[in-house]
Amino acid sequence: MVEFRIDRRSGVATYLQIVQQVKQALRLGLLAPGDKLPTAKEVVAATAINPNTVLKAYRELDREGLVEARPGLGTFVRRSLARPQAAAGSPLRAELADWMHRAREAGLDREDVAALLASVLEEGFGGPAEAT
Amino acid sequence: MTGLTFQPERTALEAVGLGVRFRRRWALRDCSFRLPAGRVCALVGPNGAGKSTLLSLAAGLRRPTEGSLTVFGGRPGAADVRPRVAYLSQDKPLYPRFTIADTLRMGRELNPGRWDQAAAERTVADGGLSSGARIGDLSGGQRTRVALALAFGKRPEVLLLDEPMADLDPLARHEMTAALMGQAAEHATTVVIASHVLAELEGVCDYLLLIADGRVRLAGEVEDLLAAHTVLVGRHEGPGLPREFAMHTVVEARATGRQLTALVRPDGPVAGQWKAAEPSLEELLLAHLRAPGAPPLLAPSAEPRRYRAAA
Amino acid sequence: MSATTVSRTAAGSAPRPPRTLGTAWVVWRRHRIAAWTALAVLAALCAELVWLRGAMTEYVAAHGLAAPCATEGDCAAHAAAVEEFGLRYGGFLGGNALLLEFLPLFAGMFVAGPVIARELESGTYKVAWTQSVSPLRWFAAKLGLPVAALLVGASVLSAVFLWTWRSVGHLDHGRLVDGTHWYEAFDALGPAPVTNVLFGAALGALAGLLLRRTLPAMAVTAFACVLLYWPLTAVRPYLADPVTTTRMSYLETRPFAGKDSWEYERGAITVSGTRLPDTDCHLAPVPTDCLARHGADGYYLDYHPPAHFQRLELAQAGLVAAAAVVCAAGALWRMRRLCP
Repeated sequence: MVEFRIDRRSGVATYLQIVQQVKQALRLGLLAPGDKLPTAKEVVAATAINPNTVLKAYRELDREGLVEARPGLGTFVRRSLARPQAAAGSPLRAELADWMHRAREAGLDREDVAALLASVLEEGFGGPAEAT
Repeated sequence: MTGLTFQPERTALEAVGLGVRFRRRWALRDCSFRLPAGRVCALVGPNGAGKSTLLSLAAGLRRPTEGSLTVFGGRPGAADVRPRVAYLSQDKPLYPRFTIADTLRMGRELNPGRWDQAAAERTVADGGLSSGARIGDLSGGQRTRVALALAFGKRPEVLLLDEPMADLDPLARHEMTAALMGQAAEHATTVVIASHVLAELEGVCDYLLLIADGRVRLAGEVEDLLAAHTVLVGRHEGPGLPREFAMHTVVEARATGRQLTALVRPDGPVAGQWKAAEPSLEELLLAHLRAPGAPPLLAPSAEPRRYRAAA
Repeated sequence: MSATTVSRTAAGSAPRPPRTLGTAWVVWRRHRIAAWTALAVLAALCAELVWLRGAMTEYVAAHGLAAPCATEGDCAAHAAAVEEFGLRYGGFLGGNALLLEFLPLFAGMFVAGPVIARELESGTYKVAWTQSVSPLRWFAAKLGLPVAALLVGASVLSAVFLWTWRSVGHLDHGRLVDGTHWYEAFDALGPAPVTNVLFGAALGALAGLLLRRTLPAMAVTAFACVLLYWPLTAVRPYLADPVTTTRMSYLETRPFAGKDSWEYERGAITVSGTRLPDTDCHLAPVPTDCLARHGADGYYLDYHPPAHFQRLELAQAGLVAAAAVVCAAGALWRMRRLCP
């Protein structure tokens, strides 16, 4: 199960916040295929938001093929967003950790490293990162 | 559970040419709108705009002076409509000498065959209230909870709430909103919440009805209404509005030095060097309240069906 | 999740199917303190009246007051016993009669204030009207039950009072009930208290519905009850044809009427039969001169003998009931206007 944190002042539409938080949970492995998402009633009981917002977010996730609605049972995770290549102990992650160590030794501070990463990220994937 | 709670084709409330007069003053005048079933609708407007009058009409406590208001196609207060509507008036009148248990028993006695004792008791128990407590000894917020329990126990299809959160502390407000949304999620209840405190309603309501001076100013899905408006910021000098605004509906425009900020309903793309952004709900409402001359806007789903058929 | 909810509700509510009394329960719960209080007062009054009857009949038997004194010698002791009777029991009889006469006022104030106006004033009617029962049905229960209870209570109290009063009321031409003669305690005897209470309640309902505020409604009801009592007493003797007697001498008119008769109008009468009620010639130094001056030659007296009691009673009951119906119709009209 996941618990949603809704920030009404963030300016991000409420349903998008739910979509993002489900995706984040899928990436981090907090949700795995077969897991059940909380029902709209459970979500609204905890967050006091409009149930239609929750249902709209679930429909969006359904449309993206991440979850599926089983009538009468609930909404279940269909596939994970967790990448084994990015998991702890993977070679890619180890290389990045190694690089981070060297950058620090070279005298770069946190912000320098973040700026460097962002610029390389932009070169590699193009455009600034989208909110999702 | 996975279908949206609202049913766009079913009509919960529909007003056509609705007007209510108190002695010489019109509290509501020429109101026409439609509220699809299953929506959580914010009924907003300044104090004295006619919100309470509209709700008491829908609750069947008052008759319109002209025009009509229907609830599920029937007259409010008709024998087949009354059991389906629950109403919480602003002052939440309850018998002060009754205990909470008595008050819920009253709900059971007055709603034979419909009453959900478990739901009512749960609502009361969630607030940590004991059923033996007297209504007269409760705080305003606790009384609101009991009144809401009475409304939930009726298993209404339409729940009309007049300033329900006015005397609640932030925690109770969150709890009551959560209980309300739970009710809406579970039973697809149509909810109308009248309030002049917008913060209470953001994120809660997906439908909006803005009333000012007894007239409908905005009606429709919150998203659609927001999408229909744009905030334009740009450089403009000289008197009057920029020429490129002529083809759009300008709700409000304010000049600060050389900068002009305008809330418009664009009809096609806006020419010129303007920075455009979608307004927040608050910006939208404030702009309409500050500009009483702006033409009203009804989203297609908020147009009365009977009205359309007649036209 | 839905499965657990179902099993829990099934376990919780299955053993006791709730019985519903509807609006009646709400009305009962709302006024139960008033109801218990009224019932206690009624029981106490009935007990007091039963005791009073016992004490009075015992006193009458012990002192031989059932008949007038037979011999000259007896009469002094007889008169003393009658006076003692009046001192002992006259206050009780008069007090109970007064209470019954004020009953319609209390009933009217109760209906006007707690039953109707307080609901409308505090807005609690909005809760009732937005449940599943219609406002008219709510009003029907709200008024019907208390009014029915008031009528039953008034009937019981009136019957017990009549039973107690009858035990001494006509003995020795009503000599024992000086101050509570049948025509003096008229509104405490027979059907009068019941119809009066009905009128008071109807008036209270009308006032409550019109004014919609507790204290003004109660005050206006009380004021109107007192105010309307005057025309009622004024019109009462004319509700049945009286017995009229005419005599040459003023003093002669009295014995004809009898001691227990209600003499309500007397005056001079001319030869042609024209009545002159206000001459007061019997107080003049020379009454015959006075009569002659007015062209009269005798006196007349209108009175109701005790036998007219029932006739007058029924006529007044009809009149008051008709007034109650008028008030009730007004209340119903107002109710329909208030109901959406």
